[in-house]
Amino acid sequence: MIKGWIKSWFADRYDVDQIEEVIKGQVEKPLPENISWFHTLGSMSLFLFVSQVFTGILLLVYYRPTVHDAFESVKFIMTTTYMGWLFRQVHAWGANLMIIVLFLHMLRTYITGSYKKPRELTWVIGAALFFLTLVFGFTGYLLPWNQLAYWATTVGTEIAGAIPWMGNFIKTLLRGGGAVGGETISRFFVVHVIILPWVLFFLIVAHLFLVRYQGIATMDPVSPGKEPKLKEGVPFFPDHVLKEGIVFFILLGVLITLAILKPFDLGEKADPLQTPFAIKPEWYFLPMYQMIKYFPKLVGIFITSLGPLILVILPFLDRGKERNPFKRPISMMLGIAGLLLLVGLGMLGAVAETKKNFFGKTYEFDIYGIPRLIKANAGSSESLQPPQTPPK
Amino acid sequence: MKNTEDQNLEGPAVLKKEMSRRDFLDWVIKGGILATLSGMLFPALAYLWPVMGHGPKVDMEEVAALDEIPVGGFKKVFLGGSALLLIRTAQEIKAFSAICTHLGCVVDWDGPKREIVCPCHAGVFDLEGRVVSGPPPRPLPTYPVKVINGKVFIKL
Repeated sequence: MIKGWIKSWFADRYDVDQIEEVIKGQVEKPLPENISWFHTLGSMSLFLFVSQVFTGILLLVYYRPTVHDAFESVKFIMTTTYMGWLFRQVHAWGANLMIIVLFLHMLRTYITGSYKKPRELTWVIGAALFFLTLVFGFTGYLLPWNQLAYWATTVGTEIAGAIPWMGNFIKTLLRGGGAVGGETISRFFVVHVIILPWVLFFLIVAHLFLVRYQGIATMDPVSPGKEPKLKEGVPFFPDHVLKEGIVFFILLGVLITLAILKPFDLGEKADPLQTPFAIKPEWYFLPMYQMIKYFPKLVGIFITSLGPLILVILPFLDRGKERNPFKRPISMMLGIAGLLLLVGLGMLGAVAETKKNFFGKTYEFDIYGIPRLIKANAGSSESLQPPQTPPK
Repeated sequence: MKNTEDQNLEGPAVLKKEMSRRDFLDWVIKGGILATLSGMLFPALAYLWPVMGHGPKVDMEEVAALDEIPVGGFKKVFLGGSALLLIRTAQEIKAFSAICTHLGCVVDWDGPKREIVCPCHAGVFDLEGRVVSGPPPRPLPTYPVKVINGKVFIKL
């Protein structure tokens, strides 16, 4: 039979038994008893990454990264090509879901204390993966070259320009010139489709290797010396793989449902001469964007960059031995406070510079998200200026 | 497995085909995964198939003004992603694909000799696009031309 023939072909050339043993060891690797549904979030991030790569490659076939063609080519993908709209929507929603799933994955790791010794490096690489994914989102957002993308990128790079001493240099480097234009689209394109995918790929390989090599953390306190290897537990296959399979299909369903029922509008083509009202970054940047508003430029940037920094070096700051969340009250309080801060700032950012109706009264939110009662149907007031001036 | 083999030795051959519950579920799962993957593959392949390959455009497109081309002269234009050669004779304007049917070089109009020549491998075509000499295997495709109000229109 052909199967036997292939097997013997390889057996004559390679040490198949040894390889099979390694694979078997990985497949049947025992996982600790505390492995839960929340432990599938990591593989779901990986699935979303793979999905982004495939849909991204498909989009690349028709996309053209120039000021003239970018918008039209995306429009072409959405209207003319077979199912192109679906691939674009799955790519766009995949990006958003990836950030949510990554965040939940980090949250799970935080709550179960898995980042503690000996897994500090796994956490640091994971945090780097999260921030690189945000950069992925930022660079990809510009590529359709529509009004929202153009101005969000203008504002975003303007913020980088406020960094002391080297800000202007960074801004010019990001934009490839004085203003967001053709050079910016080329740069963002290169970063988005070549540099980031490969950097992410190798970081994922390192992250996964460490996860497999050291095993999943238990809920036991950090052991003083080397952590003992787990001999018995829930086998990876089929027990955990089954969970992953179930969550995978749910996620796939959510992804496609959102892509079809809540599609992203392409909007209007970018017009460098006309700033639309109330420019805001994507939702995942809103908390940081809102935070910056409450402080003088320099202080704001310093404070907002503290958050990510603390997150990256968390395992070296928190040297407590306990992993069980019920035995880490301070960590849990800080975590909840951080979450509330993020959600609160995000919501303030979302309502800032909008008008909303509550109980028949119209409120106008200024850039700080503070509501002011105004009469219904009143015209726009002085305080409703966009937060950033358009570039000259 | 061993059990069924034992039975085969004595029992009828039909038993050999009996499927266990385990095999059935195995097929269902593998079949399900395969169906999912092929369901994803088909739209991707259909998406990759050239959109423009569905036939020529219906409309005529303006490619030049009549004044631009003297009698006996020519103009090369680029339309719908391919190069075209316009030649003005005493009576009319003719439009050919400027892509040599041999190896795809762009052909030129040799006015004095009244021939279309390919610079790469010395292929020669006449004013009807037919091969006169050289290696080209097929005549040059021609396109309908209309001249309206001094403007040249071509239908691809």
